Amino acid sequence: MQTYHLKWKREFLAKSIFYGLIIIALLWVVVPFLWLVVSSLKPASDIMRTEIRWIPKRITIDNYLWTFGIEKAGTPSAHGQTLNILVYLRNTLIIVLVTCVISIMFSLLGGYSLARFRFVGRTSIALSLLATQFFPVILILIPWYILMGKFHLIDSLWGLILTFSAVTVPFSTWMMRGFISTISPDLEECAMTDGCGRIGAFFRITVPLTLPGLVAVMLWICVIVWNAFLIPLVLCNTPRTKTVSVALSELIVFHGPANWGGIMAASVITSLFPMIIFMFIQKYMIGGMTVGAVKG
Amino acid sequence: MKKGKLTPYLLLVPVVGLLILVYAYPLVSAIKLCFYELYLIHSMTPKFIGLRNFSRLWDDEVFRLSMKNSIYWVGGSNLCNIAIAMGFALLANVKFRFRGVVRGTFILPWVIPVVVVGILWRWIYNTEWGLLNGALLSGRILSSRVSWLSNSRTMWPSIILANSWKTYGFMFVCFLSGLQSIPLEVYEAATIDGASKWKTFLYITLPLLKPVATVVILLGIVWTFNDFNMVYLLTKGGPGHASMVYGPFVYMQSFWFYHFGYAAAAGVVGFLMMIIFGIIYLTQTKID
Repeated sequence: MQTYHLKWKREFLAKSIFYGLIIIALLWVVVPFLWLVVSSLKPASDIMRTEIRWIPKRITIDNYLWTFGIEKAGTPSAHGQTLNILVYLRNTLIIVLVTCVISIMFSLLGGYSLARFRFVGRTSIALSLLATQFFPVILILIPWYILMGKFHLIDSLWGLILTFSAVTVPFSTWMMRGFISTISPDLEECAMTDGCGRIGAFFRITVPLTLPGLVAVMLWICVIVWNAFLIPLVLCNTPRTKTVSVALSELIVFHGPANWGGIMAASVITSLFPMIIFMFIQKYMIGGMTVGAVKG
Repeated sequence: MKKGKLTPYLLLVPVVGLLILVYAYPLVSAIKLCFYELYLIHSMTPKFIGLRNFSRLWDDEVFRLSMKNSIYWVGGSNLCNIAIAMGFALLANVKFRFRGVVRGTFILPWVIPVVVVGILWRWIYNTEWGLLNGALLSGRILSSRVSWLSNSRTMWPSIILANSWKTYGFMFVCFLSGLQSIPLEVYEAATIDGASKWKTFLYITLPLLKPVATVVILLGIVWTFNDFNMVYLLTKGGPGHASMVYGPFVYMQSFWFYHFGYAAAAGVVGFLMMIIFGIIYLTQTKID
């Protein structure tokens, strides 16, 4: 009896420590973002306060209106212009979608080639896909900026799409190569003997079988491109072509007053897109989809 | 595996074309640019000056400081990431109710845009209205406000903590999948042999995680060193040049001052330093 009681006590203690650690870990992850959301709902007078108030006294959507270019009459417009976030969201969305399509199309072909054929140069091409991980983007951008300037592709969504396609294609090709090599080539050969032809077999067998992985990679590319900062900062910074990240970064003020409420409302809006996508691909990410990029 | 003549090459044309256009060509022309003076404000035509850019770099105190800072930045970030990712992976590897939700939440910061992360942490570290000062003052842990991002003693820990919040997710996922690939029998055998939990971790888990950990740490080092976003968004390399590192230094030399030749030289120096890690990584990779 005594020993049973002791064992129970020890297990209870171990369990409490375990759940305690989980809760601390969760708080560390969630609290910063939650604070951002809470602050974005507070009126300016409540934001600039020392005391910590998790439940706002008065909830306001003024900050969100400000990001859409609507400033309510009567609010002091010390912060000058409002933000036209819709324009930047539109720019970003166009870039994200087009890049995604290009990158997946190219990588489907390239990945198929690397997974299904043996040829001279196969290993070096595969290795160079991985080697791109080690390139400092900032160094690449210096000559790239000059080249893009020569072709009038600075401040152009097409220039940005070209750059992002190139930046994402090594990762997606590597992933597609992995997915395709897990499918037995026998399946394709069966289809081919049934008179499908190689192209028919590719579209009827290979593509449908890789579809779940393909969609996951596609969505992950969307997140990467949406969140990118340095490349659009260098290549596109006029109001016409700016992405939402660049527009947001310009709101960060290092000296003097800033409209913190508006900045945080815009931050919440910007985070929505990747967070929604994240819900769909979460299980692939934990399942190690991105780890595939690391493993040989 | 098929033997092909032309088809495999044709299929790879778009991918390889992009690689050459956006990686190979710029790299070669960046290396060429190192030996030229190209100051876009003065002139659009590059002038050959030999190794002068490199000797200027050697004398540039800001560049030397940014290289020294990069050691803190890269070392600190990776130690912090490894500790958090390993701890969280061990927690998330235990079977319990809600495990799926907890795992999902753990990687959530990884998908939040880096600019938002910068804003978020600048707000938390804000001297007057920040959450951190507020909490520490009301808990009477601090007696006066701290300017977390401009105080020379708190600057690096603050930047590193914010960066880890955003980036540990990748390491976490890698460690977790590494942990899950360890067969349960190994642990059972260890328990039968009477090994304590700590000893099991030290002599079984860690050695079996080594292959994953090596690659992840190599990538972590290079990614942090090459990173521009976090330091730029949190401090812009300031106050003064106190928190300047490689990425923001090259960016400011090129796209603030239009000193392209000089910036390329600084960029190439950093690239050469990271090449060692790249070679170790590539030799570790096996392609079937």
